[in-house]
Amino acid sequence: MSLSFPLIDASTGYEIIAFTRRGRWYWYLRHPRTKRFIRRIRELTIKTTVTVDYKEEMAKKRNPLYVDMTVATVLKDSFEPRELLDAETTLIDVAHRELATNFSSGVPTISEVVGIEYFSYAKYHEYLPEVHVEIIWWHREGEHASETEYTTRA
Amino acid sequence: MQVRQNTPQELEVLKIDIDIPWDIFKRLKYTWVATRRAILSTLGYELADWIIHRSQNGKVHAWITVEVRKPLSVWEKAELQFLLGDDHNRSKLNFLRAEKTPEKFDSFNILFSKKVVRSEKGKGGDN
Repeated sequence: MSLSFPLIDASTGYEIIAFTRRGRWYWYLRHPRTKRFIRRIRELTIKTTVTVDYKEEMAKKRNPLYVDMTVATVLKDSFEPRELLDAETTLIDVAHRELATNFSSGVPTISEVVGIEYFSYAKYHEYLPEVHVEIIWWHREGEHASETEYTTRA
Repeated sequence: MQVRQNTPQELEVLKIDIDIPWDIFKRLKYTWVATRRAILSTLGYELADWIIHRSQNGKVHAWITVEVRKPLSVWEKAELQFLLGDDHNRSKLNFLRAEKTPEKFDSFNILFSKKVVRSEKGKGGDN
């Protein structure tokens, strides 16, 4: 994986930019059209989303499954881009581990890591290595959905 | 959806995923914004700001900031995003989430900052 700047703040669409000064990394939020600086970013949330869409026609035992899962963590002030990339890899590993734990060991193999969001604030209270997990799932569209939310460690 | 007169007090950000190539969209960009303004105005809302980015796989992500009198319910958000031109597959899932797990709606109302793996299932929805 790589980072291409500017990053995009998932909640507003603003740009997240980073630069170094005297060996220290600074992160800022900027409006993409006006280029106006909005504020310094002191905490950044990274959230990865994993889905499982095991449709009825694929399910040999007629056990379709739809899962939406997010795994997120917060990085504190003056982190480096390298740490951001490492955190992304960690979150994906945790997502696969938690899918296996919550469903079965085969489920990670039919899952899809669909994307990563960045938020320019601490969206959760979990700082790396703690991570925040949210899962919703259902078996058929008409059925009631189940959900769970918890904190774990990477 | 009811048409309403409001006294704007709060801002809500709506996330729109447009599943057409950026090169085509950019020719229509300002017309698209003007028509979103018209749609919102018809529904009694006001467009406060808009941000449009080329998504990582060459399509379009838009963040539409709307002035509202009171916070939108998750169902209203799902409806407004659909009416503003959100990808239909994404809208379908958003309606399902709004219905089944409304308290989790915002967590899964996603426009990705970074796409990790492109879907191979041809199901649209370049979130």
